[in-house]
Amino acid sequence: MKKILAIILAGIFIVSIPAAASLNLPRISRRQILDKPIVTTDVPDWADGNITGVYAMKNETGEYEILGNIFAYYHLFWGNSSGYYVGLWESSDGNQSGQFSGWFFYQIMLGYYNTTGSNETGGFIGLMKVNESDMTIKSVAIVTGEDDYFIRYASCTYTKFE
Amino acid sequence: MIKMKKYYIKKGIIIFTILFFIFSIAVPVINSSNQVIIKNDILKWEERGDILYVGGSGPGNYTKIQNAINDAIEGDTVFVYNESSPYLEHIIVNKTISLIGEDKSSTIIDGSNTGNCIKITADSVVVDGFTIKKGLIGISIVQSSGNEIKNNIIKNNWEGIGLYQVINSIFSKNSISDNDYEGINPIQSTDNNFSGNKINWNIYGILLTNSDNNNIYENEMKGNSRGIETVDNSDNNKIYHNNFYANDEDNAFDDFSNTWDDDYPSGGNYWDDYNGEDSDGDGIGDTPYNIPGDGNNEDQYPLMEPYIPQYPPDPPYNPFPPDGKTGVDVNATLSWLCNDPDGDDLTYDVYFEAENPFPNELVSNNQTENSYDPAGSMEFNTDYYWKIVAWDSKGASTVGPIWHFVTGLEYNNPPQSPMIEGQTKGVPGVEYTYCIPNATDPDGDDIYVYWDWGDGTTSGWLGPYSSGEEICSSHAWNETGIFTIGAQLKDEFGALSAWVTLTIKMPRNLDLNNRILDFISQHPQLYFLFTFLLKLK
Repeated sequence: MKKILAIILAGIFIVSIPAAASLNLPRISRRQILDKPIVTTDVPDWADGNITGVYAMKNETGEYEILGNIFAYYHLFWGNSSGYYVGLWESSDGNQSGQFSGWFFYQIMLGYYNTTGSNETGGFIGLMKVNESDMTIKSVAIVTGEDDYFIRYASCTYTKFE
Repeated sequence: MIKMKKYYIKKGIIIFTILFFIFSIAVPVINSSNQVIIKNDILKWEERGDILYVGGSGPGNYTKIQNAINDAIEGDTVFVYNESSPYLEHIIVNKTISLIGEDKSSTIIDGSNTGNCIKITADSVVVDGFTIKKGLIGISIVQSSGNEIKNNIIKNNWEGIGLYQVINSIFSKNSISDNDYEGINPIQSTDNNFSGNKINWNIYGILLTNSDNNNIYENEMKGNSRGIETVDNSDNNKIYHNNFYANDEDNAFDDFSNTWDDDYPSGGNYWDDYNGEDSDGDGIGDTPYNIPGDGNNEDQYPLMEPYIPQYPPDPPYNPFPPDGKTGVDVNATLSWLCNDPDGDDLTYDVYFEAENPFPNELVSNNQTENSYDPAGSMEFNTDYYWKIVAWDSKGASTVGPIWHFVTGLEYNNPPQSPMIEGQTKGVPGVEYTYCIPNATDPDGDDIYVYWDWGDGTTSGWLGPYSSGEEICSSHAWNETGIFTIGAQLKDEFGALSAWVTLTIKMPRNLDLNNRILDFISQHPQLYFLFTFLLKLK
């Protein structure tokens, strides 16, 4: 499974890199988010809006457990059906944080994350659903860590910049 | 002396053993409200659950569902009225109860977007007839078995139904829609049945996570991002007779080893993106439907049209003689009622036997009538057991309960022949009342009446009425003609009176003047002839 995910991620990245370059996307490589962490108060000029919410897991008895908060800026293209995002995550207790970035294509989303102060990085791929009436985004993603993979849930609201 | 001592020791052991058995039976009876009963010389363990009411205006009704559950004991039913909805609660069910809502559309449990609406940790819990919304998980079931979740509307939760290590449970006829993540997410859950559910507009319809050997059939999955996905080594699940429509990314995605059809000719699933042909017209596509994912799974027999679930008949009910009735007439005719959810025609097999609590003597099969006449075969003062197996026209069957009655000690007199009173002429479309004055049973038994209105309609058995009472019923005939009304009485033990009849006429509505005028208007040349003949001038 992990191998398959890695292949899918690699494939999509390879395919999407030239497209991203031609669209003059911001560099959201691992190096980029490590070297130049985003500051939530500095709105990137490419941002069409921002996303705030929580991320969660299901614990060993199948209960949802909110792990922390997420914040990201996003940019839309292809008739608003797709886009990319760069953001921050922070655990509820504030002890862990990091950045994440990625793309979404219709309802498929993918990307990767890092952890501040450690070498821990990983990727994720999943499905998302946007509800324009209440401006919410829900997503379920399979997240690959160093040795394992797990499912994470995100529940967010989004805003649109004028 | 030693002999005497041994005798007392032996006697003491016997008494102790008897007391031990009595005590061991009595303790669960006291604690669980169940009871051991001896019925017809058969020892039975009978569950005797109480009903606790929530909402509504009854005296002593609970205002919170959780309070009723806290006071309930194993086997009880908690019945929730809709008029106090919504119930803003996070309910924990930690004992075997049935949680029943009055009306699934209006009996609402609202989780206020915090916590789970219902969490079940006990075995054999029933949840039936609720709207369950705005929870993190609508219904969360943890480490239990034998549950039945049916006829609920589960919407606007993070997740509709979440299962963790749940086995042998049934999830049927629920509407599970507009949940943020999964409609249903079984985790490490096996041998469950998911059928007849509408699982629409979630991210995942069903996300099987490390879950094996589940049956998923006759569900509708529409508008989810993905209809069904298997993750984390979910194998040996059987998925068939589902309808997949317009799931955004994939109708299904399977990386593991699962079965996606029910063989031929039963067939697989309906896929709205299946492009195959059906050259032999058997309703099944000629080529398999490939399930995306690394499992290399195929639906070998994709359906060309959406599957329409077929349900077996409902269990037969309303037996005559009533279950447990004593003193039944030896000439009684057995009867029952039965319905089919699909409206199919029904036939019945009748098993009927004396002195055998498990009747296996087939006395009539494939009959269309919902009655059976033992035709003089019954004896006085005898226990009879019977059951009905109902079959629908598509071959599905339902075995009814075993019913029991005891015939009377001596001959039971049937009701006296009735006499029908009422108009013998009438006009179609007008309702007329017919009565049997002084319907009498010589033994003073209660009486039932059966009307045959002569136009193909009958009343069925109506009653009971007291002996000597006047029994009236009304009917309107929609056609003209001559009709023979029939009536028969039956006492409470099944003894039948003679049939009596009354002939009535519903004549044509002869409006002679109009007919003559119509004729003349069509033949004006005959006007003078008519006026001459009728000497109108």
